[in-house]
Amino acid sequence: MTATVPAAPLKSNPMRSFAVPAQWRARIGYLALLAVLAYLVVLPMIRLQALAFENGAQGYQSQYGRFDIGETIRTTIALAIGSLVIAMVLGTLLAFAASRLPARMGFLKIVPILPIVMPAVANIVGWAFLLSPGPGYLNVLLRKLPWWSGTDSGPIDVYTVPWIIILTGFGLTSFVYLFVSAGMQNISSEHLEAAQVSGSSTIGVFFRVVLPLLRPSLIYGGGIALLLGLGQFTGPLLLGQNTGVNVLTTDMYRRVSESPSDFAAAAAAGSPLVILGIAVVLIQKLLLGNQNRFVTHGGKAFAPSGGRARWATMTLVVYALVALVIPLVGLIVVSLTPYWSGALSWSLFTLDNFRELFANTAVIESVVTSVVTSFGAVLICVPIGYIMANLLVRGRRFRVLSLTGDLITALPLGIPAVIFGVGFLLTYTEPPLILYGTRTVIVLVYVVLMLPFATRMQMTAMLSLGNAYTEASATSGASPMVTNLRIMLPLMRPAILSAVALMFILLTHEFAASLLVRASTTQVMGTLLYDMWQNGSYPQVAAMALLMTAVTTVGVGAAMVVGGRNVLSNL
Amino acid sequence: MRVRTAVATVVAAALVVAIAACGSSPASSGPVDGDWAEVVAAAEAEGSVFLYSTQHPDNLARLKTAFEDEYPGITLEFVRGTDVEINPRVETENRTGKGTADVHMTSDPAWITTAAESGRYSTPIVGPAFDTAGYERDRSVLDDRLFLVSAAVFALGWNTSALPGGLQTPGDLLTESLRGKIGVVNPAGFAAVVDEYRFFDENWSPDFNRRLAALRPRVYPSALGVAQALNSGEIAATPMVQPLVREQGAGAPVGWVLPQPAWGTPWYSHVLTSAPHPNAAQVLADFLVTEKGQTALSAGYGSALPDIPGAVARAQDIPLPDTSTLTADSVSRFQQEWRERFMP
Repeated sequence: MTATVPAAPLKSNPMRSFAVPAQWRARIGYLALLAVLAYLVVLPMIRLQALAFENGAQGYQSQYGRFDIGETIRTTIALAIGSLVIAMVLGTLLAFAASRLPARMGFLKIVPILPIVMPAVANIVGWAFLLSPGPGYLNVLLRKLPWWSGTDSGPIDVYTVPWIIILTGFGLTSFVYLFVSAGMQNISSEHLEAAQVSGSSTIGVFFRVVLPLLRPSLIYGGGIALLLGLGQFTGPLLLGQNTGVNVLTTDMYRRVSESPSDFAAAAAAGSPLVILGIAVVLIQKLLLGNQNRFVTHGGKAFAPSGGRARWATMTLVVYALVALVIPLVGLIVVSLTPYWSGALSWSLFTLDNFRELFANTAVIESVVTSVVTSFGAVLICVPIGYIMANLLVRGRRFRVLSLTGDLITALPLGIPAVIFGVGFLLTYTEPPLILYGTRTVIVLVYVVLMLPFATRMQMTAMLSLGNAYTEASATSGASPMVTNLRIMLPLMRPAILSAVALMFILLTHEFAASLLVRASTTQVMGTLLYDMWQNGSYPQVAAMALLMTAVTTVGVGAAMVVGGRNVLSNL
Repeated sequence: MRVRTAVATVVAAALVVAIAACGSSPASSGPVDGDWAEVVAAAEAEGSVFLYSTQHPDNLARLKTAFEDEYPGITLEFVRGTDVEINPRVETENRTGKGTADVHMTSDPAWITTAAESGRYSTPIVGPAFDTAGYERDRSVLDDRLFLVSAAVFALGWNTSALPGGLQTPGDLLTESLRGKIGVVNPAGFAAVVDEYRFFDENWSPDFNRRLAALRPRVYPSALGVAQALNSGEIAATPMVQPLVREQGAGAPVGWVLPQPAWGTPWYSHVLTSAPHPNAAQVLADFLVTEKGQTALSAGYGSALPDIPGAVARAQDIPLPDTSTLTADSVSRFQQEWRERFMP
């Protein structure tokens, strides 16, 4: 904030020598906030590690001495790499297709983001209803084909590792799409047109021009998707238990949730993921260096022109069908039947499951808890993210603070949510702050999980605005407060609303960390759905998954009303 | 800079306020010293009671109706889960002093024995129903704290579309045509299920588990999950499911039969020391062993009182498994062997 520096000597306050200088006040303010964030983000990790190393590293011995640990690690790696490959290929293809859409089909650009609106738990159970080897509806249909007829099971078994990888890859595709399509927008259409004029085909343009230019976005998006893949929990937990598929995150969950709980072993199980997460975050910092270098002028001349490609429309429509419509149909059919069965008849259909669902006070409470905790966390996160973004963008004078802030706010993206769940469960079931069973602990863990999004999204907006506006405002005599309120906030409104929408969507879906910190009376929608799944009440599970999707859709609708229709495409 | 300092302070303060505001603890009134009428009066003043149980949700829903009919001033809420999920919650609530549950009903023999010996989780029961002749207090109460309420007996089950002929004996399951179509319960975290698998080898045939595992059965987290998988046709048969009385009532295509001998395990309950409603907890504990409570709880299960309609056995006749063979070490060794055998 260079503008404030010349202002200080102009003040002729006789008490000045007794007051804390402005720069130090800022430093102390940042330090206080960083201390709070470090307590939230770093302390649970340290406590977990301390526990794992107790009694001669008993936690590590117990976790890595297990007979099946080799298999668990192999599955974890296969899941991460397999789902990464699927997500990268699909995400890039979709982003390219979206950039070639005919103008009147522009609304389809939102399609690859829509699966984010459908909670992962809902999506996974939807697929289970479709691809379970016996009664899965798609399997029943496939068995009508001549080469699969005559069997009463298969041909697809959704409970096996390859299918868990495929579904996880589908889930990660939206994230890769977000990163890649952002990169795609920065490719000048002159390049594409030049290539086409020189006689290159669409495929040639894609491989010779688009892919090389996308390399930075692909590496960044790939890094994030790899970490998300390593930390995957929902798919392996829900689908893997039938066939004994274990990954490190499900191991952690079981170690903590089975009696007697073994936090030390759970901490040890999470260590490779924490180390990898920190490594990826640090490598990204080193590779990107000073982020100010990336301030780019986003003038209109760079906007890529639309295409007329029919294949692009087809690709997005097929993706929408597979990723969204088909699992939703599976959920709707099961939710309308008294028990899940491959043999359907019209006489079975009933709305009883929904009646039961809405008569269940626990369900209503879980919706309220989800909305209240998500909203609470978003409200806390936005100002924190704004301040941290300010520190990162303009805090060149606070190098150490800025670096620390950068690391603390990036860590939750690198470390799987399950690990934060375990860390929070350990930290807040013991003095000094016993928060077990309260909504507060859910809000706190949500704040931590959303820190990277709140900070990065606002930081990107600040970077692209540059210093010109704040300097002009300061030169015109506005105080920093006025500059922030009247210049920065209005200019950043779209970015902030996008951040609010994304965080709200991600939080109403949150499952992994919530599952660990919830208590019997403090459930969010995802954890209640999981309990229903464990109890085998499949029609209720389907109805609950639809309810969850509906709540998020209403949330997104509200965000669109407040933030304009482009909120989602700004993500 | 001042602005950011101020905002930072406000945010930090907001966090602290949020923590303080939401971190409320449930009000505990403490159990009253006095006769039963005073306990009931105090329970009505508390107004609600919370039960953790591993029983079938339908039975628990019937219990709720029956209890609230008997005590209109007290609302009964419950959470149904497996022992694997519920027992750690009880332990956490005990450790943090932040109780949610008032009464806990479990079928984990190792947990029951440890809890009875330590006395750490439970308070002594005071209700009059425990002294009725039919309940046989001497056979039904452990250390004045844990009391018998019910018992599960496990049946052979099948899907009638997939297996129209059904099953008569456990040996009928061990056939090649059922490869990949049998459902079993994962014993991870379940001492009772470990006992059940041992029972198969000891009572049905010495290599029952080995042959069962060779048929690559599907694994479920609980017997309720197995029952639903039978309903849906995801599996065709199982050696370990509760009597499918309710499922048949709902029109699901399933059949069941109790094998000879059948494995069972008793359910014990206790009033928790961390109970936020200690008097209502005593009233619920008492109600569980009355005729009305037993009638609500016993469909498809063994009952703790004689002549309860819908009960499939007498709970007192189903002994608590010998927990000396269910030490933490031997259970975890068995679970490892089971995993190597059933999920190679």
